Amino acid sequence: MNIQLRGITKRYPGHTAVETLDLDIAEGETLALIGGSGSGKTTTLRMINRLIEPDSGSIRIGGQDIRTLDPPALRRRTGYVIQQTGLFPHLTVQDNMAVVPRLLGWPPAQIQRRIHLLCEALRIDPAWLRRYPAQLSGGQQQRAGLARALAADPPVVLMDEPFGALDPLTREDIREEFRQSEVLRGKTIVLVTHDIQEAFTMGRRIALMDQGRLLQCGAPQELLFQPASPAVARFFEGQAFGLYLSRLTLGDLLPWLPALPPGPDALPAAPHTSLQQALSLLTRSGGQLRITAASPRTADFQTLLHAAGQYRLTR
Amino acid sequence: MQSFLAFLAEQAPVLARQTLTHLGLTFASLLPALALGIPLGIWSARSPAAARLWLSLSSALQTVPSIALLGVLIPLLGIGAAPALTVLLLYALLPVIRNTYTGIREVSPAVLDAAQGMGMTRRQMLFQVELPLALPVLFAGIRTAAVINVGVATLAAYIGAGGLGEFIFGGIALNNPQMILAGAIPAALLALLLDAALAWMERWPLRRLRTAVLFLGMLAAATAFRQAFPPQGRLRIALQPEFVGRSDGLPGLRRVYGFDPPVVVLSAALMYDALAAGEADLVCGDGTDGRIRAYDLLLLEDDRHAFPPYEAAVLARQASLEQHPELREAIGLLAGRITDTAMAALNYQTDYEKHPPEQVARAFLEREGLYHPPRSGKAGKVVVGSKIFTEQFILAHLLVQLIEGYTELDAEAKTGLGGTQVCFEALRRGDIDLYPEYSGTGLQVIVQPGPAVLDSLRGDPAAVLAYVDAQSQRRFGAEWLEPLGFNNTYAFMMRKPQAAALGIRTLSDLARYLESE
Repeated sequence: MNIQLRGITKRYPGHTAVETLDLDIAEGETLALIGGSGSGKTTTLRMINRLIEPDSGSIRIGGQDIRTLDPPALRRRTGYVIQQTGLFPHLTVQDNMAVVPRLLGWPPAQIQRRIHLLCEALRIDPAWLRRYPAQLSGGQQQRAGLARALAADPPVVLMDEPFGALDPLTREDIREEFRQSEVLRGKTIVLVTHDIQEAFTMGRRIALMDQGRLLQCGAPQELLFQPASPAVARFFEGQAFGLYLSRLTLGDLLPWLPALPPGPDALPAAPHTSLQQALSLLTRSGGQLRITAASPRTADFQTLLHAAGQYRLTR
Repeated sequence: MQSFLAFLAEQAPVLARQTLTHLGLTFASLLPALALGIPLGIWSARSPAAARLWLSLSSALQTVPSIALLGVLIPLLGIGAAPALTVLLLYALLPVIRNTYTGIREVSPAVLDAAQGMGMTRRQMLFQVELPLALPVLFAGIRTAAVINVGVATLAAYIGAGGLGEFIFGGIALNNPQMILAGAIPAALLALLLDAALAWMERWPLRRLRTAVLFLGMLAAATAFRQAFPPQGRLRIALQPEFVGRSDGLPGLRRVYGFDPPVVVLSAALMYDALAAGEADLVCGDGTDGRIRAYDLLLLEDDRHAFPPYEAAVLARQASLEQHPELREAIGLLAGRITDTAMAALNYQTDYEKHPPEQVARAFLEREGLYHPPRSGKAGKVVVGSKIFTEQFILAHLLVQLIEGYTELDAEAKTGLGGTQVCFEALRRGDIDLYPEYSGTGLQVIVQPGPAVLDSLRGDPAAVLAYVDAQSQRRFGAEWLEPLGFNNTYAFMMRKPQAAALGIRTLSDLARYLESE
C-alpha cells in the first residue's frame, strides 16, 4: 500500500513541527526519514498512524484518507516499532507478540502459527517466548519488538529509531538481518533515524528534513552527489567521505582505472565491491586488486583514490 | 507475664469478639476505600486538575487527628459503626488514591506509546497495560491503608463501635498495663498479619484476586451490617471503657444486681450527648456531672449499694493544720453544705453557662450566707490544690474564699494539678497544704488495701472515710476533714421520659426490666 502526504502542517505553541509537507512512499519501498532533532521526522511518522493529528493537509494510505478511519482500527493494521521497544514488561514475549492479533480477534491457533513463523523469520529462539522482556538482551528485545509489530502482518510498518538503543555492533547485525528478512519484503516501511549510515543502508529512498521542511527526497546517491541545496550538502558534510566510500563501487570507478596486467599476487574483486571494502582489503594485503569485470582492471591503493577523485569531479 | 496470660485466658471470648469486630471494621472500610480511591486515582492520573484536587484533599484529611474527625462526624452520623467506618474510609483513601495515581504515572511513556500505537483503546490501555503495571505500587498503598486502618480502628471503641480499642482505652483509664497489652498486642499482630497476607496476595493471578476481593467484600458487608444493627436488647446501654473494666464498675454491678446486659463501649466525653440525642438509652457517668441537669437526666438509685461511696472531703497536711489550727474551723463551715444536686448545679453553671469557677464559688457562698470579704491575709499563706476538672476548680475556689474570709491567712489556688497521684504527691511534699479528694479514690488509689478490707468496707460511706483517714494519718501525715456532703459516685442515668415510661427508678427496677426483656 502506498502512502501519500499532501500539504501536511503541524504547529505547536511557539514552533512549527512540520510545514506543508508533501511526501510519497511507494508500495513495498522503504523510505528513510532523516534529519537532526527537531526536524519534524518523528512528528511526520506519528501522523501516519494518527498518534498526532495534523493541523492541515491530508494523508492517504492505499488511496484512503486516514481521517475517515477509526484510529485504533488504523493502528491495528499498521506496524509500529519504537526505539525503547515499548514491550509490555508484565507480559511474556509470546503474549507481547499476541497483543494485536488478539485485539483483532484472531483465533488462538492462527496466532500460534503466526508467532512460530515470525520466530523463524526473525531468528527468535522459541525459548524466549515464555520469558519477560527484562530477561532478554537489547538485541533480543528489538527483535521481539519487531516481531510484535509484524504479528498481524500489516502492509505498512512505521519504525521510529528502531536500532537507536543498541550498541554499534549489534545494531549493524540486526539492521542487516532486518534488511534481508523475508517478513519485511513487500511491506511499505517508513523508517525514522538520525543515523545517516542507517538511512543509507536501509532506505531505498531517503527524505531529508530540517525544521519541519522537506529538503530533498530521492535515492541515496542523489542526495550525496546531487544535493538539491547547500543545506543538503552541509548535512552530509561530516560523513560524506564515509558515505562516499560505502556507496561507490569498483564498477563505478572502472573508467578511471588503468587496464594494466595484474601482478601474480593480485586479489580478485567483483565490480559491486564497495570502495570501502576494496580499500580495507588493500590496507590488509598491501598489493593489488584484480577486478573481474568484462574488461578486467588492476587497482592499487593510489590508483583507487585517484579514480575516486576523478569520479567526484565529473559529478 | 503469668497474670497477663491469665487475663487473656479469662477474657478470651471477649478478645475474640473484639478481634473479629476489629477485622470487620478494617475490611468494611478498606473495600469502599478501594472502590472509591482507585477510580479517583485513575482520574487524577488523567487530569492534573483532578490530581491537585483529590491528592491535596485526601492529604488534608490525613492531617486531621482521627479523634477530631470522629468528633466532627458524631453530630452528623451519631455514634457506633457509621462514623467509625466513615473515618476509617477517609483515612484509607489517601494511600489508595496516591498509589493508584503514582503507579499509573510511573508506567513508562514508551510502553504507553506502544500500546496506543498498536491500536489499543483508552479502556484497553487502562485494563491491559496501566492497571496491571501499577498493581505493585497500588498494592503497597492498599497495605499502607490496611495497616493505618487497623491502628485507627482502635479509636472505634471511643464511639461505641467496639474493636480491640475497648481493652486499650479501658486499660489506659484504669492504668492497667495487662489490659492495654491485651488490646495492643493483638492489634499490632493483626496489622502485621494483614500486611503479610496482602503481600502474599499481591503475587496472585488477577482472577483469583478478584474472587478474594468479592469474598472479603461479602464478609465486610456482613460485618458492617452486624455493626449497624448490633444484636442487643431494646435498651441500648453505653458504658465508658474504665467502667467496663474496673472491679467496682460493671463486674461489681453484675455481682450485686445479677444482670449482664449487652453493652456498647463509649468514651466518657461522648456518652452524655449520646444519651441526650437518643443514641443510647442508659449510660453510667459521674453522679455530680453538670450535664445531668443540662440534659434533664434521671439518676437511677443504687438501692443495693453496688458502688462504693465517693464522698468529697478536704484532705489536708497535718503539719499545716497544726501550724494554722484556724483552718480546720474555716473549712468546717462547708461540711455537709454541698448536696449532690447542689454540686451538679455548680458544675452546670461552669460547664454550660460558662461562668468562671471563682464567680460560681462566690455566688454559692453568698447564697449560703457564708461569704466574707478577705481579711488581712497577714498571718501566713496556704496553698489549695485541685485536680484538673471543673468540680475541683470550683471546690478549690470555695476553699480559698472561705479561708481568706474567716482567717487572717492568705490563700492561693493552685488548680489543675493533673490527677490524684500528682495532687497527693504535692500534698506530701508540702507544695500544697490541702485539696478536695473523694473517699473512694483515697481508698483505691492512695491507701490501696487488700481485697478483704475492700469487701468489708463496701457500701458504708462512714466506714470508708474512717478507714482512709486513719491510714492517711498513720502512713502519710495527711488528714481527711469532715465530708462536704456530696457523693461523686458512678451513677446510671436515663432520659426522664423514657425512665418514667418504663417505670425505672432504681437499679433493681432496671435489673427487673432487663430480665423481662
